[in-house]
Amino acid sequence: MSANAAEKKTLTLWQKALTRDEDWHKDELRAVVFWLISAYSVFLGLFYGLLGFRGLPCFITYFVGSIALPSIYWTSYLGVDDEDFGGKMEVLGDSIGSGVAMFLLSWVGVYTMIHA
Amino acid sequence: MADFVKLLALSLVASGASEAISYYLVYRTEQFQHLKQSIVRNEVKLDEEKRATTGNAQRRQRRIESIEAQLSSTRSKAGSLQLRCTLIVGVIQLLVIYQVNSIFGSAPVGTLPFEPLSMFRSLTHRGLPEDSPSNACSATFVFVLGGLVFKSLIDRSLQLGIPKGSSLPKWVTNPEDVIGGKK
Repeated sequence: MSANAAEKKTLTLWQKALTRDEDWHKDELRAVVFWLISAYSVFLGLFYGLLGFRGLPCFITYFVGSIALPSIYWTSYLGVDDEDFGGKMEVLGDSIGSGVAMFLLSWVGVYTMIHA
Repeated sequence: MADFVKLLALSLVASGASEAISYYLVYRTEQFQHLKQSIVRNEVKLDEEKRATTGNAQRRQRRIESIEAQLSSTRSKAGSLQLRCTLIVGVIQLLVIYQVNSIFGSAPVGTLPFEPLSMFRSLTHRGLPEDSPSNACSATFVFVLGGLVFKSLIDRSLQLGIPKGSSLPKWVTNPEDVIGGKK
């Protein structure tokens, strides 16, 4: 038991992000969600830009994914109840704005490079 | 495409410079560091009180309210310290945007893969001629997007400012607490 407790104490944030049923503080969860949304935004922007996708459906799929994916991750995988931290928007809050900017920048940049 | 990359580099430099100015004027001062540590301590205490299940619930609620009031006051003091550098950084950013417009002129630097809504056209088409294509992308738009991205990445990586805390007002996250519906 004490060996397990010692192991738990030395987990880095990213090790914790890959481990189920750990205790989370709000700032830690928000940090992981921020980087998750950032990676998703850049990846989706690059994907749409490379394939030349255009228009409103791209925005819709982006927004749906940027809310659904982190929610599913922390609910199903981490076992965290977002009500403990003030709700879904409290955890997502400051990640969405920068995520949209990253998505637009990568999408417009790659689209301009390949298709313009 | 070369202009696009130049704009990204420029916005990275501008964001880095803004953060450096904020650090030099505010973040490194003893007063700000003291306030920041106080906020971190109170956030931890608040988290522990909210998670606690033993003890008198009324006393715990009073302690929570007291810590929240302290946090609010400390954040407000830290915010007023940051106000001066926010104004300076704002002026610098406006000057840089003005320079971006004059350097890159009225030529589009990219192509938008969507039709921008009319309320965003003033940003996506800033400085471009009236007869430019509807999917033309202005230098200002790329610079602003780059600034948003790099500022958030620098903030999140270096964590020089005050911890974010509750980013949304209480009436959004816990409306039942505000209107007194919860027993």
